[in-house]
Amino acid sequence: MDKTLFNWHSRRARLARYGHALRAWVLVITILSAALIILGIFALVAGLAFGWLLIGFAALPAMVVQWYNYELSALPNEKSNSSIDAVMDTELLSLLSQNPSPKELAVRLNETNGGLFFEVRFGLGGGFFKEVATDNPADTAAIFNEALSIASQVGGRVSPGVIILAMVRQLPMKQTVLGHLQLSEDDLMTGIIWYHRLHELANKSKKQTKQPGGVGRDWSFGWIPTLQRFGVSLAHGGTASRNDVRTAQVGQLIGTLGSGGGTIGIIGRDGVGKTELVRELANTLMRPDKSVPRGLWYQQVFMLDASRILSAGNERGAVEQIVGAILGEAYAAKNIIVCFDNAELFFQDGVGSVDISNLLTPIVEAGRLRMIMTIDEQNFLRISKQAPALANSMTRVIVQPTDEKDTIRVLEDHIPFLEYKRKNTFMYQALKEAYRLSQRYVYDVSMPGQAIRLLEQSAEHAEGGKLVSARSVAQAIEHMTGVKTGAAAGDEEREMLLNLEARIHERMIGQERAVSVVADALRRARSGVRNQNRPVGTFLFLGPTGVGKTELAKSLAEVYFGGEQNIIRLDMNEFVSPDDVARLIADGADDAGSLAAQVMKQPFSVVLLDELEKAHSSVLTTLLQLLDEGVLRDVRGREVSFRDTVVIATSNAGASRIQEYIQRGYTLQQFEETFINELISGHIFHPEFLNRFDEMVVFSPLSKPELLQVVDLILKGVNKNLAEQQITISVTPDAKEYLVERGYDPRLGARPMRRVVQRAVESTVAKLLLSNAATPGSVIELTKEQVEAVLGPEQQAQAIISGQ
Amino acid sequence: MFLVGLITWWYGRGWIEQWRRNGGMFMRTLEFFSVGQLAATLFSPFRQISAGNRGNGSFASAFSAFFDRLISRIVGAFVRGFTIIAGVIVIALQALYVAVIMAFWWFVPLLPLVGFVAFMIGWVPRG
Repeated sequence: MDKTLFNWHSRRARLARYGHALRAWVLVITILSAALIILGIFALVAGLAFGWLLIGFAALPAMVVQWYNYELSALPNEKSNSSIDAVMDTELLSLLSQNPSPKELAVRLNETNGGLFFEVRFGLGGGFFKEVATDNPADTAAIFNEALSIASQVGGRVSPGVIILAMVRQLPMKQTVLGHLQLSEDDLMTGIIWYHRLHELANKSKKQTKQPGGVGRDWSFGWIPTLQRFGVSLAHGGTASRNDVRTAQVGQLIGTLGSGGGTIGIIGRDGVGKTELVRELANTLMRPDKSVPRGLWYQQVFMLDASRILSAGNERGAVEQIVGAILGEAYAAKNIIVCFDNAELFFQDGVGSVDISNLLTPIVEAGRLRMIMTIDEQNFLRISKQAPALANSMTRVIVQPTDEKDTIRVLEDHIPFLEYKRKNTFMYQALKEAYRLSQRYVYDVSMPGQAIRLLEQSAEHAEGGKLVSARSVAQAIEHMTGVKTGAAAGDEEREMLLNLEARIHERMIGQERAVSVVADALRRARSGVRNQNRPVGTFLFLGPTGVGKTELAKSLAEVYFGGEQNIIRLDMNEFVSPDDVARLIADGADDAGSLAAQVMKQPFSVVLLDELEKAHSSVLTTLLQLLDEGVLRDVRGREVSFRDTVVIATSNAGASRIQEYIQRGYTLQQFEETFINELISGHIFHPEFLNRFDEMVVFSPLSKPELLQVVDLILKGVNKNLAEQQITISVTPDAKEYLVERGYDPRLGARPMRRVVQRAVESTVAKLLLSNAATPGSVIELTKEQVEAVLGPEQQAQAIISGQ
Repeated sequence: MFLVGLITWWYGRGWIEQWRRNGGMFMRTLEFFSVGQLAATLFSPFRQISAGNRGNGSFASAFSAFFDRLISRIVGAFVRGFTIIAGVIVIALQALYVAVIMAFWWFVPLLPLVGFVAFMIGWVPRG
């Protein structure tokens, strides 16, 4: 190999090999050195001059150990040299032969920490490359050149991750490999930076002093017994979050504190990291750099424990007394910044909270004491309204939710803690999936808290008991919400999707086109080819009553969404005024039955909007965004996702026209388009509203053969109910026709059919059972005469139809 | 080759690294005792036990507060003074240790030879 690219004989490469050879022997050599000295001393005490020799020669192993510890264990990069051996991580460099082939590189990668990091976290490493890499050492030059180019973007260091990315770039089928692993080159670059950062953090923590500022640091400051009882110092707590994610906000906090006293209000939604920001501030003040004003060096941030204060202050005014004492101590001490975490607890009376704004407002206004209050966005608005002087006296620092890049960086720093606690290992793909899915399905918390919460849940679904992958995260979401997040994977589900029409027709008759469009939408969704930013499907079912519109929605809920309980049904005739919009988007705490609240609780369901034409136009306008983008903004401004729902709206509008077309001999296909145009021209629906639906399906009235099938279906249900009595019912064809004749109503369609059939059959069976004419195990055949006897004359049948 | 590398490192980068590490250790000790800060605040009240207590305006309470602060200052001066003395001793000893180590560093590679010579001479210390 070209020596300007890889010089195996270079000093650094040679030293790396020495270090590698010594690594296993360092402890033995240390013991040998100590033993020689001890034996030498004993020998001298015993009067043996040989002891000098032992002591003298103990220096050699001691020097070797020193060399290893000071230099060989981690050789610094050589900036002056441009060959790869000058900048490659020692652990990998030490393992390479003079002319390494790509295959050898792959094998060696798995013997390094960095290689194993990628193998486990990304599922990509030596194990894979060993199978695909060539044995030809000439191919390595391209990898090394690529690695040097990548290294120039990450501080010049060639770590195992850099070699892995370089090897990926040399693969002819790299897109396939990365696609299979749900990764991109950018992800691998992120992984390299992540690994380097962990490495740096580990090195930095070794160098940190335990008592920054010295033993007498706090002696000149006040004694704070009450504060220590009711608060906790964040000075030595450390922080899991990354300094470079919230650098601007930490700088803002330091700038505000440095320019004088006063109270800072850290305002943001739950989960954005307000408390973590205070921890970062505490950490920075305890280990200050030159950017921190001298007056803030070693200032301690004390976070008050609200629950402890409230539980200690049972009597009236006791809480004020405690808080007053705490603030008095903090002021006298001169090195304390008091932090009220969830400060809203001190501004409202209630369970677990108390209103001491009368005490705090003058202190905040005076601005002599350094205080920080973390407050939820909504609560801050409430406090501003309630006590404007208090809100105006605060310097506000707004903390916004993190974007994807920053969330991933926060997660990268958070997972070592999580892994330590849960004894799991998280893959990088799990972090990405946690961001994606939590954004969609986890409410009430913002990023990065949203993703952290999901990631914590995902640990329960680790693969092989240890590894948390993207699939684990998807399973956690499926477990929490019932949503099917990935593409159809199991044979059973694939089979079900392919035979969806047949499954639906097991419980509903006819309406082939409607069943087919719904089934197609679901197949698109589960094969992953649908638009992810819309509901699974949006359908408008038009037609007269009793033709199966609602039944299809119910069938779908049962067959695909796991049961009829997974249907969210709204009768739109209850939404006839503009004020009813509020009931669609109400917060779950105020109205658990609002559409937004129900979908938030049950995102994987059929949303059935019955009798849509009766809804007020404002309600329909509110639904536009839902149909278009699959989201509905609730009253608190949260985006509720409808992207895993099938939205079905039904309407009887123009039912008489449909009957008319049918009676005039038109088929559905012939009049469907004209009919929809009539609905638009009749101003029943606006075209922009109708255009939002994926499909508009006109349901035709059921034909006689279809109605006979409906009777069969109902009888099947009746027989199921009678299974306990071990009695089976069969109905003669003429009796069935009679049931159809009596059960069908042109106004109500097939809807009364069930009542008629049930009444006819069940009454007959009851009589037979009481007269002992039917015994368990018998098959009863109902004739037309028997049915006639039960249903009686026309009038009686009409009474049954109308439900009397 | 290995031995040459070791000796080269010992008298070159090793020596510099040893200086760097000793310097770091020395700085940590200085920071730990923070003698300058202790001297600057030598007579400040210790932990400001009564710093916030201004009394109720009467002569008795003002005198009591003054007396408390005085005691606090005396305690502070005693603790800080003692720490400064301890710090100065430790820093001096450490400086001496560093000087010895850095001087001894040069002779370590010679120890096998010295040991061999001493062995050949055959002298041993007698109690």
